[in-house]
Amino acid sequence: MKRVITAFLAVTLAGVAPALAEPQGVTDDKIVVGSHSDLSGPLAIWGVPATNGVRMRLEEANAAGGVHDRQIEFIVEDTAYQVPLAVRATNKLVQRDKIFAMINGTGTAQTLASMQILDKAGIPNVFPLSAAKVMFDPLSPLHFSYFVSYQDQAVGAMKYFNSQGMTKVCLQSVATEYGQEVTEGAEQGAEELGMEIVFHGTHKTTETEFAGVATSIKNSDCEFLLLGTTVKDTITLYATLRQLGWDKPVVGNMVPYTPLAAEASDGVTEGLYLVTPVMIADFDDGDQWRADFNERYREKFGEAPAVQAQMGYNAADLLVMALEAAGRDLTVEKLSAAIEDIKGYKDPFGGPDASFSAEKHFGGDSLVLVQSENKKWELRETDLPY
Amino acid sequence: MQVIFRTSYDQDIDHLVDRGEKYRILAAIALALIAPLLVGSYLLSELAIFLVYILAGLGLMVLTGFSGQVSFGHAAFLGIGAYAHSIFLGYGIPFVVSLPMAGLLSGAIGAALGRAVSRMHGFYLAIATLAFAIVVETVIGEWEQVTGGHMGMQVPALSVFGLELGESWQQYYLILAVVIFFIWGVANLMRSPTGRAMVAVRDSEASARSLGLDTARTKILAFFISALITGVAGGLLAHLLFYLAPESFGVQDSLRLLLMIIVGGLGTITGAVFGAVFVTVLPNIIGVLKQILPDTVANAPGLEQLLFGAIIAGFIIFEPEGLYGRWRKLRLFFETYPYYKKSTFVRQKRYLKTERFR
Repeated sequence: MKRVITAFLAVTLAGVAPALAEPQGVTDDKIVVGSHSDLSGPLAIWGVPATNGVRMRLEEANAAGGVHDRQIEFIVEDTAYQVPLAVRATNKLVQRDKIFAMINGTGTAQTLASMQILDKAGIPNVFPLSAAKVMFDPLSPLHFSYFVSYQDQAVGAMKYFNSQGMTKVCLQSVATEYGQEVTEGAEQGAEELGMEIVFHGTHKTTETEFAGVATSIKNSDCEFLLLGTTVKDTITLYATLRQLGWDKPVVGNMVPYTPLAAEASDGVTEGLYLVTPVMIADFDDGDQWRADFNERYREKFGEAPAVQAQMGYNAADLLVMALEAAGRDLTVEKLSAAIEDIKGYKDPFGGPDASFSAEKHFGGDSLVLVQSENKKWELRETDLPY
Repeated sequence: MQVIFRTSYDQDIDHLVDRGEKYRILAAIALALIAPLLVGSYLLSELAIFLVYILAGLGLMVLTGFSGQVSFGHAAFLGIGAYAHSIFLGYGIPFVVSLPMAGLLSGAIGAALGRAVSRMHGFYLAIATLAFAIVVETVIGEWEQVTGGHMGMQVPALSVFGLELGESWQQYYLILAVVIFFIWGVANLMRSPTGRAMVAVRDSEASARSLGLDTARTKILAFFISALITGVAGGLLAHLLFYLAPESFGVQDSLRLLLMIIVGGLGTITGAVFGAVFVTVLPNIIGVLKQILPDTVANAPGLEQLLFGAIIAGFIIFEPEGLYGRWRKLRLFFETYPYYKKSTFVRQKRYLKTERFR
């Protein structure tokens, strides 16, 4: 039996011939780009519009004759926001579909697991749908992110309120990797600026009752509240705080930045601040391109473009730019260098510019501050540092 | 119908009595051995995950299928095994020591849980195991120094005796060997006094006790063995996931394991295998269902949990013996045609009245 197995092993081993000279997924007339996203799970509200955005930009590129005469083939796998499914999806994309690059991978844990496989195969992971710092740090020629990290968003918020003369901060975050990163950002900001975190509470993502937390915050003497929360808990906590009569500023980040949070139950979030690296486009501001985008997106997907659709579109836009710049003899190194060469990318939806360099593998150059007013997000400050 | 003519006492303790069954299982093992020649590396990595699910299901089968103790929190042991194994590897402990250590640790925690719940039945047991799973998930999430907290941790590369196993076929053979070892072990267990005691406790605790069995000890042992096997499965799963996060071992994964053994067929080893097939293709089935269903239903959150629950309920009501039971009935139908009668499979056991509703 042993001999039989050895024979099998030998045969299989011989079958795995190394083919590293050419990058996989690039042929004379085609570039294969893959994506794993949540199309059916709890974060489908992020994954579906973002995937639509990517698809729209790539199809535009194809309709315009492709990139250096190559059509871009876009293959999406559904992960339902589960790590094991993300691993299976990545295995399929890498080994069966032979993708050249991964774009818009959704979820932090999912993308981290996926990157382990991609790194081994030398496939770049560009512009994932997660603003976690680990998406681009530590520096790797294969990892690029579009967003300023959650950690730096927290630092940015701390800096802004510090410049308003506040030094005592309360922090409330969810017990996930995302909440932990916001906490690290708050601690970093507090240390740099000499501020003090007087209260730090955490809650589980499933929690819906915040009376206890709100009372603790009210009883502490902080001057503003920093949030590392998701959408629903942000709304509930904010409403509870205001009901208790606490009237100090509350600031969140990009995660609750959806029209839904501003519209929630007759404007209970009125006055809530968010510091974010992206901006929800105003499609009625007279900009021809944006109005046109809105029209085309609605026609294609039968719904209004969500902010995640913008993120997906920009991610694909950056990728197409980089592929153009990398030239006809496409390799992973050339793509990596081309992304690093992107400077001052103008967000077509009006958000902050994005620049990359050999040391900076994430896009955003600055942050914006928005506030909920009359059920809409109104722009308060731009060019916030982090 | 096949009549087996016994010519030796050894036949009484054979694992496989039926000759056809022997050939089928030999064929399955042979197929598993040559699989790397037949399929590409993507399918092979899928097969490896499938094998790990078999092992995890086997662990739960020992507890729920053989000993009758339901567990709604078995993914916790998967998590304990995965984290323990990765942490041990991180300390430089070699794979061949680390994996059994992770299994033993998971088993010890399982035994402690078993001790705590040895007097519980039915709903109470279900709630207790569910609570245990939630506690484990929370502890993993909060114990930052060791587990990396919610940021998760990376799994060290898989290497055995200094030989790095990076290719999927190498990992596949390693996992296959472990799985076959445990299947063989559980098969042996079930014909040992311990295994018989487990079945006795499952069928009627009062009768078991009146036969002089220490039911609490039997249950604790069942928890230990079950948690050990699932822990080892967790250790292997870690290498396939590359990256561990506490959410990967949540309630939904516990439910999936339970679904697996109920659909596969409670109380049989083959049931765990059948169940793993079902669970592995389930995402594809759900994907197809979603295309058929109207958008508002298909995109509703929680659809997957609803389907899981519905499938479990459906099998409990209509086919408590699971897929494997269905297969046996089908086989008997053809073997005894036209004399098949439904009552062959009606269970003969009658509960004591006091044992019925607890």
